[in-house]
Amino acid sequence: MTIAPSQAQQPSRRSVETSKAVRRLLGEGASVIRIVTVALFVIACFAIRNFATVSNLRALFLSVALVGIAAVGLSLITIVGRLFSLSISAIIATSTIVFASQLDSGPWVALLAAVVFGLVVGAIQGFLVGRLSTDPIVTTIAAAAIIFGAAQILTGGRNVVGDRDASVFGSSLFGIVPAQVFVFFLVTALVWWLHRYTTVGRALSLVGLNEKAALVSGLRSWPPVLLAFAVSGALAGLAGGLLGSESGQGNLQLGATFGFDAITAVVVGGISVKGGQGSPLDAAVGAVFVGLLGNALILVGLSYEVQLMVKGALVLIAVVIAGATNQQASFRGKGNR
Amino acid sequence: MIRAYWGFRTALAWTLAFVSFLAFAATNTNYLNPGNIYALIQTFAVLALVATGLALVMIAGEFDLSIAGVVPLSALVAVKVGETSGVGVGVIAALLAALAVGLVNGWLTATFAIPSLAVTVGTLVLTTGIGFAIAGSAVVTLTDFGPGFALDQPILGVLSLRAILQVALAVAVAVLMTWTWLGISTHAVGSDPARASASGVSVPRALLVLFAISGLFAGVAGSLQGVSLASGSAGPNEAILLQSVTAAIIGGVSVAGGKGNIWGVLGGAMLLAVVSNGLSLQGTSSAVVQLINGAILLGVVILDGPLTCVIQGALETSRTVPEPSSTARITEREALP
Repeated sequence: MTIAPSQAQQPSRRSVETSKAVRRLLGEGASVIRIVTVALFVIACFAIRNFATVSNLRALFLSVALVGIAAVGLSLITIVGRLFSLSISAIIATSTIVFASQLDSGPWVALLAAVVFGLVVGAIQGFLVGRLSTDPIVTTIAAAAIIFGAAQILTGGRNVVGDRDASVFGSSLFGIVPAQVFVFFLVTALVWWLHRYTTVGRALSLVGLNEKAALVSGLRSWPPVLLAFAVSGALAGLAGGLLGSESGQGNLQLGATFGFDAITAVVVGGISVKGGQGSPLDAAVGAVFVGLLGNALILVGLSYEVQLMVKGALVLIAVVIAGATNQQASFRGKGNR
Repeated sequence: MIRAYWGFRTALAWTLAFVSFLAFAATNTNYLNPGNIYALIQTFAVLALVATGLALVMIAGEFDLSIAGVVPLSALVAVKVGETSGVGVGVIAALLAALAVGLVNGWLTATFAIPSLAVTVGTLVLTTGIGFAIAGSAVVTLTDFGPGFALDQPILGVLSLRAILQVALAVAVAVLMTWTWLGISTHAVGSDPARASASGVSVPRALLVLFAISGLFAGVAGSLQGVSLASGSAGPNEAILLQSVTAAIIGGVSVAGGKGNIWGVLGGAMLLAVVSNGLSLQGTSSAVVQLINGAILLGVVILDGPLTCVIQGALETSRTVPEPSSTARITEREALP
């Protein structure tokens, strides 16, 4: 028995289409964040004194650059549906030590060594998570402990001081753009392009979105997972190497907050934790937004500790908004957990 | 059959703990000293409590990263408030804070259908930030050592009030899990939330309760430790997270949810306590102990899947041997025309 809706109850066509369009725009967390970031930037330029100066903007982007590089790498792991990697901080800290210890072969060689170290460590984790299907969170927690423990044993907890001068990475292009910021832009553009315009990138998204469909279509899941972890490790190594180059030294206390900052950037940037959706560009925008907010708060006069609380609250708010506006959020199902 | 398998995992955890205990006792003459057994039980009690809380959440199919922030935060709150208003008030304040964090975790996860990983990352950063906001980078101390001494006073030479309290709480939860609705609901929610809800289990309420217990237990462990050491400092305690996850997985809790046994988790906690106690007695540095913890976790995670297959296969084979029964023969005879 069918019940026909009465004519009086149907809303007008135009209002339905508008509300659908608005809901679609708001439903994509990534576009919301981009709008909010630009809006915040514009507001800060006018409302906060000293914000729109070259030195402040330089400092802002410098503080964001390294976290942004790590976040872009982490976003690949999230997109492929493996949640997060909790070993980013460990890889960054150990990469500073690798960089400093290899510095006597020249700064570029040292940086390459740090990247290769991160690549190998990431690839091992990617093999475990992808091929042996171990849980990504637990695997990366264990990997972080092993990396930290090994590094602690090898260095005795001491500072590793590099021999040569690494200040080439502290120079600025055209006198304005710091080298690290340039690397951040370059890495973001490269990874975004690879994700968007190559089959490898597409495979990444498909495996995250619906692994069973990918399998049935003939796409094995472990190569994209391995690649995501390897690239994430390599970029974390790059960030660590650049971090080490700032002082020419390496120790295990460096980059301790970068891991959670990268996760914050990925989540705030609108990339769904369930996987398959979003792009590395969103993570970069998320990193810029978090840095922007922090910078604005400091200029307004709030302390560093308050910033940390704001970051935590931001993650919660972003995650709630993403969950609340997700039209596909049916009942909490097991899915591909 | 499932129960037989997970009973097996519990037995395995306790057997391994017992074997390592014997191994350390045989190789080190000082191991069986009452002083060392006391230290062992102190370590075991803290880990047992926090791991039990985490295991509850894991059996329900979720994860709680925020215990790495709640444990140090409750120590900090207990000491800071206790310094001015008395230790009793300090501990209560810490427990309330921990409970609040747990309720926030549970409420956000249940209401907005968000993966608990994203939520607890947010609360982890938030609690770390709150810790820094309260104490900065200084160490907060308690001038009154009396309560700490009372908590740690050796009873019967090897126990202490703090250890008894924590183990009692963990055992109470284990009993509740085995014999009351708590266990049934938790396993149901972890196995299949949709079916559980259709069968009348309130999934949001169950998650709220479980995350609250996890937070509360982390708070109890942290605040008692803070009073006992008469000091607290800000910053995440990743080691307790690592050890709790390891204890839970050794004890047979599956990260995917739906399976697991608190008695097994207690066995896993005992194994880890024995190993770390034995190693540090031999003079191994904490870095090596951390490395070994990470390696154990990695090993357990890799072996978990194949172990499950082997045991289930063995159990199935032992049941499919046909039993000759008299009733079958009688029926055959009756079937003949």
